[in-house]
Amino acid sequence: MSRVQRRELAGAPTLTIDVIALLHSVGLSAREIRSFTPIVKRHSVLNEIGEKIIDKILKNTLSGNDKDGKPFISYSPKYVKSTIFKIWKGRSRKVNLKLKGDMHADLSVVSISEPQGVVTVGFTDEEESNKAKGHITGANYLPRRDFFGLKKQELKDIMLKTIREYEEDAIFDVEEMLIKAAPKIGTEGFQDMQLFEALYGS
Amino acid sequence: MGVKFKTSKKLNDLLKGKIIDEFKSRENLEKIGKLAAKLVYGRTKEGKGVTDAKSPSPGSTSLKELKPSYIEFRKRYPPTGRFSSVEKSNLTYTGTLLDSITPKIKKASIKLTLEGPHHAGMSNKKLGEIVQEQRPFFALTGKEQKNITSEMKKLMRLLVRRYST
Repeated sequence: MSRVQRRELAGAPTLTIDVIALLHSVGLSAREIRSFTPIVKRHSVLNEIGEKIIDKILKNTLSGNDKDGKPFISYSPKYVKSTIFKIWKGRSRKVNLKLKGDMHADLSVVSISEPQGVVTVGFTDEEESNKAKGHITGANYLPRRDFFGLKKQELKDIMLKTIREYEEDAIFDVEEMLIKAAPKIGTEGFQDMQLFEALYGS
Repeated sequence: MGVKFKTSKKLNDLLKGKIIDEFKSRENLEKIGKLAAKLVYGRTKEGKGVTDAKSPSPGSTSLKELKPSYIEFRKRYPPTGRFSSVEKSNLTYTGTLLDSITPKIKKASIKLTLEGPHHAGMSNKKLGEIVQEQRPFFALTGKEQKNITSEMKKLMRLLVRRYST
C-alpha cells in the first residue's frame, strides 16, 4: 500500500494514510523506526495524526489554497452576486469553500486501524460528502478546487510532531475534554435548552 | 543514551484543568454564541426553518409559504428588511425580529434570545413565539449543532497546542 490513498470517484471521498509506510519514508535510522513503530500503532496517536491532518487541510483551505498550495480559482461573479452568498459571506470575496461551514465541520477521522497503523479521514454526511466530491473533481460546471489532501512534507511533519508529543505526554483527549467543558446551548423561551445530548449522549 | 523527560500525571491534570477553564472563558463562549446566532439568522434569511423546534436535533426545511393575500399586501407595501422578498417567506418584513437574535452568556451556558421591542407593538420575544407556531425557526438544527461542536473542538485544540508547547 502506498503512503497515501485517496478515493473519491466511487462513494465518499476519503484520505487514507499508512503511517507505518510514512515512517519508513522519512529517512530515520532502523533503530528509530523500531522504537517509533509501536507508538504510531496506538489508537490515540493515529487519532491525533488524523485530527492534525484535518486541521491542516482546513487551515490551507481557509487561507484559499488547494492541496498543492496553489490558490483556488475565484468564485464566479454570478455566485458572488447571489443572495445566498451575500447572506453568509457579506462582502467577502475570499475563496475558502466555506459558506455556512457544514462541509468543513463534517470532515472527521472516519476509521483507525491500529494493527496496520492506518488512519482514514473523510466525510460522514452524504450531502457534505457530495459537496466535497464536487469541489475535488469539479462537477456541475464548477471549476475544480481540490482541497482534499496535503503535501508529503506536511504529512511527515505531522507524524513526527505527533510522535514527539506522545513522548512528552502532550497528547490530550480533546473529545473527552470537550464533553467536560461544553456549554449548554439553546434558544430561550420556546423550548428547553437544546443540550448537546444529541451529540454527546450516545 | 538520552534522558527522556516525562511530565507527571499531576502536572498533566493541572494543565487539562487550565485548558478547560480558559475554554469556558466569557470571551470564548461569546464567540460560540455569535456563531450560533449567525447560523439561525442565515438559515432563516435563506427561507429555511426547522422541522421540529422541540426535537433535540431537528432538520431544516423551507418555511411555510406566504398566503396570496399577504403577497398582494407586500406588493403594495414592499418589505424593507435586508434580504427580504415580496413573495418568499424568510421572516423578514422590516428585519427587526431576526436582527434581535442575541446570544446571552450565563456561567457555562449560552442562550439565544430575541431581545427588545418590535414596532408591531409587542416584544420580539412575543412575536417570535407567535411566528414559531406556524414557521418554526428558533432552534439549532442537527447540522448547526455539529457545526458549533466542530468550532468548539477547533478552539479546544488551539488551547491544547498553546499549553502543550
